[in-house]
Amino acid sequence: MHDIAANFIHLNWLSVLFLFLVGFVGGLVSGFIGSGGAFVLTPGMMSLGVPGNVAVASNMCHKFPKALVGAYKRFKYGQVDLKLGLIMAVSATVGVQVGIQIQHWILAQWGPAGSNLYVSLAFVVVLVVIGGYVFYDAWKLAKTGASEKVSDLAKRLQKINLRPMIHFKTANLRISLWFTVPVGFATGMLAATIAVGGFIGVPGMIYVVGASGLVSSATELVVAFVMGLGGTANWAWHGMVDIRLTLIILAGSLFGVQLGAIGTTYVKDYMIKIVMGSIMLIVAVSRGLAMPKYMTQLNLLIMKEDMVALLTKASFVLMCVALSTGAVIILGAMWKGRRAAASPAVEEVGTASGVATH
Amino acid sequence: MSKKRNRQAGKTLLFGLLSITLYAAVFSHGTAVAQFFARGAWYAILPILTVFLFSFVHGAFASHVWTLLGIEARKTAQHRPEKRKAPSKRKRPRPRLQLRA
Repeated sequence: MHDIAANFIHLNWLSVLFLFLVGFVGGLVSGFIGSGGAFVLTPGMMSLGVPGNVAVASNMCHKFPKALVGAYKRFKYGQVDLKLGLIMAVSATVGVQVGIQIQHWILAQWGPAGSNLYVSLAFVVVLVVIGGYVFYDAWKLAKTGASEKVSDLAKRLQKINLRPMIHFKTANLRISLWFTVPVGFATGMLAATIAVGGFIGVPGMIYVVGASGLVSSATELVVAFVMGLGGTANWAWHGMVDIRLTLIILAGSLFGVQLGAIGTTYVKDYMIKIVMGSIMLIVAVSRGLAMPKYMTQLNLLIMKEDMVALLTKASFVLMCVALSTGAVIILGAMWKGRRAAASPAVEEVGTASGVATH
Repeated sequence: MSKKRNRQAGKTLLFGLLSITLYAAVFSHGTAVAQFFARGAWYAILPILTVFLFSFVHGAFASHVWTLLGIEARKTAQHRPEKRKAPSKRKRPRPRLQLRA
């Protein structure tokens, strides 16, 4: 434990500024869509020379207080379904444990390169399939101008009277526990694999459970808090958290997460899906670019070292692009929403309608 | 500057100073604190309690900064449970005896 602490990196102003800014942008995206930021922060810290496990631990340690502040803020706006969040969080905790076991098995079978390849493959498949659908759905809503509707799958599941049936007050729906738990479980498994469970949790709550985008993204912050706290306790027990890194990221992300939460009250309900879909698709391309590195290490592909290094750099840059794109869309939508709200003849849009339709 | 804005500026300043104090306390001996907090086992409680404290103080500071800058949630868009209409008070005039002579 002491050896790890002895290897904590030396911080300069440039690295502090980098962590603060990425923390702010990551917080902004998290406050708005309920997750995100972690996929840039961990490789970002590693690029500064932080060992991988310390980067993951320090990132997780900033994640749960950020999620707490975001969840509190959005709870005040009436967007958080606490019961749904807690059921999701408990089942996600089980999912994390199963995900970790799968990771251990893959690591034992194929080594670190095999594990990295599995993570990248999971990233690409999950993000392309789910991100593509989320983006398509949002694009359809934006094009037709229709309000968000409950998916056909969720409607069918809600009609099945499989006890125990649970009524979620804020989400305004009634569904069996047996359809809610698998969504949480899958969230946990993805969190253990790619560290961003929200990419499955939020779409799961929207399309399987039947909650609105607004309620799902807000409720995901509760899941992130519970999972982040549990994960941090585990990492901190092994002495992996570099509190300096955590506090610098937290300094930026607490500004970002509150701005993102405020932003949700100004935008149309499909904007959450647009931001989430865009980020997921760009990240999928980014992880796709990282795959040749691991395939070369496993002798599944032959590629020059220069090319592999270039693709790895391009992958990281694209991750930053994904986060920046999300931030630009959020700030742009918020700016438009504020201007529209300031004009007297504005049509009522936003939270109330988003919740009322579900 | 209105009274409300003055009060807001005061709160921002107070939490800003508290936040700076906390950050200064950690980063004046940054490496030593980081190493002490990373001893593992029951020392794990230290980073967890620290981030809770920072999230309260610095989170409140960040919230006041946005409010001071005029960036607040849109009140009309916030979801509030519908208020039940209270039954309107009706005038029920007392029956009076009228003498018809």
